[in-house]
Amino acid sequence: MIIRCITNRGNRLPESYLKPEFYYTPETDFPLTIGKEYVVYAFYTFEGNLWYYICDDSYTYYPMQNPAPLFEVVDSRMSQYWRLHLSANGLLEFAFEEWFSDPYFYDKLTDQDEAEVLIFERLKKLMDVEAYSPHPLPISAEYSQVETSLELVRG
Amino acid sequence: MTQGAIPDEEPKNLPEKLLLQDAKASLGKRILGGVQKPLGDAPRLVAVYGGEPGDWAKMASTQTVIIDGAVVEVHWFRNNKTGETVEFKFKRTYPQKSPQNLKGGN
Repeated sequence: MIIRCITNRGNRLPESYLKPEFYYTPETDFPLTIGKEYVVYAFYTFEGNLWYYICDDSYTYYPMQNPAPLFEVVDSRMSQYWRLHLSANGLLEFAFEEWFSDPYFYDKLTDQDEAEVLIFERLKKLMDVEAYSPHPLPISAEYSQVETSLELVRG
Repeated sequence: MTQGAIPDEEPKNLPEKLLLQDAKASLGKRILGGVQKPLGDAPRLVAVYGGEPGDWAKMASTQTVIIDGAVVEVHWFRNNKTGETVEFKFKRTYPQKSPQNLKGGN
């Protein structure tokens, strides 16, 4: 999944993203470049807000959550590495398996714990390659190929 | 496992001292925490400083500096309700493939 930044100012965010606990204000400048594309490594939705984890312009070793209204979706293909997790409180997350097998994976990653840093480095490379890989054939074309193959088998 | 309060990390040089001052004076950016997904440290923070698990967030400095080739940022915990900030520490990221990027590296 690839998204493109359309604004990097807090004043373009809906009110729902300006709650005090998010620490954004209309004056917030996000470390994003307008027009630049970013690969999405995970995302979640909670209480009507959508957040993307991306390696923004201040990336060091962990992806950072950013409000979805700052972006437009360029490539909506879902990553093959993603799993879905719905929590009892309504938190819906899409992320790679390790994110869920250890409920504190991201917590540990941001703490710079060795295992989690290495896992994210590896997955980032895989997801970067995947995101910019060619689009698969449309379903109609794949179906046609299957039909042709079946006809060959039938003789 | 650490159970008590963790003191602020001491800066190693003047740029780190200035970065820490800036971090303490600013709001910072939220990394994670809150009611949707409490921190792993939340039970300890509640026991030491009070509040509820969902009150605590992990924050990062909006500014970073490059010191001796490492990108340095500051992390800390903040109580969303009271505004209390505790346990400031430095995170140093060295160029790719450096073993110093891992926890405990300097």
